[in-house]
Parts: sequence; C-alpha cells; structure tokens
Amino acid sequence: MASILDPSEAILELGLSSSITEEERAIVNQAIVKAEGAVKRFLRYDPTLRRRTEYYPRHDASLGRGVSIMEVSSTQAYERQLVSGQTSELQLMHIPIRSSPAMELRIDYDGRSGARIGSFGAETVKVEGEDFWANYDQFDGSGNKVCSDGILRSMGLWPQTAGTVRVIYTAGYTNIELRGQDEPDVDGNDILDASPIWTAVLEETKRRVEQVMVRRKSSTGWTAGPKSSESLGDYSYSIDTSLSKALYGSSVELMDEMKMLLQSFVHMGWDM
Amino acid sequence: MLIVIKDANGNAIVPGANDKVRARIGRRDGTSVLTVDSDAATANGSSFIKGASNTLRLDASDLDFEPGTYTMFIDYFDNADAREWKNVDRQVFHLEADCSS
Repeated sequence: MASILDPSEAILELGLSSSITEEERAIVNQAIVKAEGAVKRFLRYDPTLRRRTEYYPRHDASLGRGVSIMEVSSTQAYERQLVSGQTSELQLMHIPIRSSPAMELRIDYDGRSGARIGSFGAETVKVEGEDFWANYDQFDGSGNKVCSDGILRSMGLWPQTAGTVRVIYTAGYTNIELRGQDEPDVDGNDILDASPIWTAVLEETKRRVEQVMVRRKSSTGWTAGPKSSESLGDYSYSIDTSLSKALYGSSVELMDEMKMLLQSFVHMGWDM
Repeated sequence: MLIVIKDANGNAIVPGANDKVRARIGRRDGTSVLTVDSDAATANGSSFIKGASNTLRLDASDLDFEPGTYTMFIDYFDNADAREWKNVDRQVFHLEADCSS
C-alpha cells in the first residue's frame, strides 16, 4: 500500500509510543488515511512514488477543421477523423516525472485506450529524446532527471483523439525525499526535498487524532477538552473558544498553515 | 533487548522447539528494512534468540538504513497452529543518525 506516513511516526509525535492501546492505534491508522486523502485532494495527485500506466488525451478537444487518416479493416476502408487543436505539450496526471526507470510511450491512432486487441503494438513505440521528452528541470540525489510540471513535449504535435497515447512512467517522491533525507548526487549539489508533504500529513494526522481523543467517553491522559468550567446546580458550562478552535480546527479539511506548506507542490495543470 | 510474548491472560508464551520468532523493521508503505528471525543470525550478526525471554540483538552493521521512525513488528510462528507467521505486537522503532556518518 502506497503511503506517506507510517503509524509509528504519528504515534511518536502524539506521545503514545510507550503505552499505546489497540483502540488508539486504530484511531491513528484511520486518521492517517483521512489526512493523506485530504493532502492528496489539495495537491491534486498522489505524491507517492509509483509506476503508472495512463492513456491520453483524456478527451477530444474540438471537432473543428481536423485531420483524417484512412484505415483498412478486412474488406472495408473507412476514414477516421482526428480532431484539431493539436499541441506539442501533453500534461500528465502525476508529478514529478522521474527519468529512471525510463518511461515508455506509444502512439496508436486507433488505440482506443488499449481496449482494441492488438492496439499499441511494438511498432507504435516512440523514443524518448527523439520523438518526445519530458520537461525535465532538475535532478534528484541519484543524479536522475526530474520533471516537476509533468509536461511531455513532442517532436511534432500530439494526437488529439482520446486514448491514442499510452504512457507508462514513474512519478512521485521516494520515502527518503518525503522525509527530507535525500543525499546530494555525485556533484554534491542536487537533492529533492518533499518534506513539506510529509509534515503536512503528520500534522493533519495529529489534529484528527486529537479531535477523536477529546471526544472519547474516557479521555484519561489527554486534555479534558474545551470546557473551561462546568456547574451542576442549574447546569451550565462554558467553552474555551481558543482551545476549541485549536482542537477541532473549525472542521476544515486542511489547516491554512498546511496549505501554505503544500502550495509549491500543487499540480496546477490537473484536477483529480 | 528482551521481548516477552504473552497470551491473552498475561502469561508468557515460551516458543517450542519448532516455533519461531521474528522481528521486522519497516514502514507500511513497503518492504521491511531489516528482518531478524530465530532461524539464523544475519550475516552481520543480528540475532533473535527464542526462549522465555526472547532476546533480540541488532548489530550496528545491520542498522545502515535511513535514520528515522519505523514500526517494529514482532511475529510468532506457532508450529502447532496453522504453521504460519502471526503478528503479536508492534512497537515504535527510532534509528538515530550516527554523528560519524
């Protein structure tokens, strides 16, 4: 399971490492899932390092003046119209694109998103560096190229018929990069630091755990909650609003401070 | 490090001749960075010797992974019960950076 945060990292920060119960562990695990979901939604992509297979373009751009190709199927010949609006840039869903392991790209004008038997055959393979290339803009600690914006450039124009380009690529950050532990490469300069993402998940996990803890029927060992006073006769109580806000975070999905941390990692070219 | 495995009643479980114990250090996002079991010591000398108190020894040469916080899983192989590894505990494991590295 691809994951940004390990439960032990949250447990340590919550001060539970020496005496955690199974219930508290379950609360932490659920909080991690929710916090990672919130961060991924804000970033608009999953930042964990994974190999991905995707088909592009996602939709036909327009049906204006287009290009046609002729296709032969058994005894029939037919014309397939390609939509116009071609571009030399193709925006991929996940960032950053990593040059290693190498990506594989194929163009099949009748690819049908891989649904057609025999589509994207060996003859449709394109060569990186000749037919296309990623918009690489930096190096990681291993000296491999990194493309931060997720844009693939083409020697010509990319097809505009949906599902005619198949890309298999690696994108995201390693566990080491997410924890800010990337070591400089051979020239001693380049590192990739994605620790703000890990920090945001950690802080949002802690906030969600604390929200559950103060609402539990038994909150031994934890703050008693936001009540600042309580009276039994003519029952009344008062709420410490500053503490309440700190604990509950106004029920927002992400705190503003976390959004600021994550801002430079948001995928501006894509909506999940 | 002495590790006592207890049953639901709080009584210590002593591994039998064909039972095994294992410690895995890792994160839930991938494979473990270090696994030590009672079958044999690692090449670097880390060992997990089973007994009433199971003794886990981690050799510094095996602690060459990235410093940070990991989960240590303690597993038990009960030869009399389905002959499979069962997780019996999880602990926070923190590796501190060595100042010489």
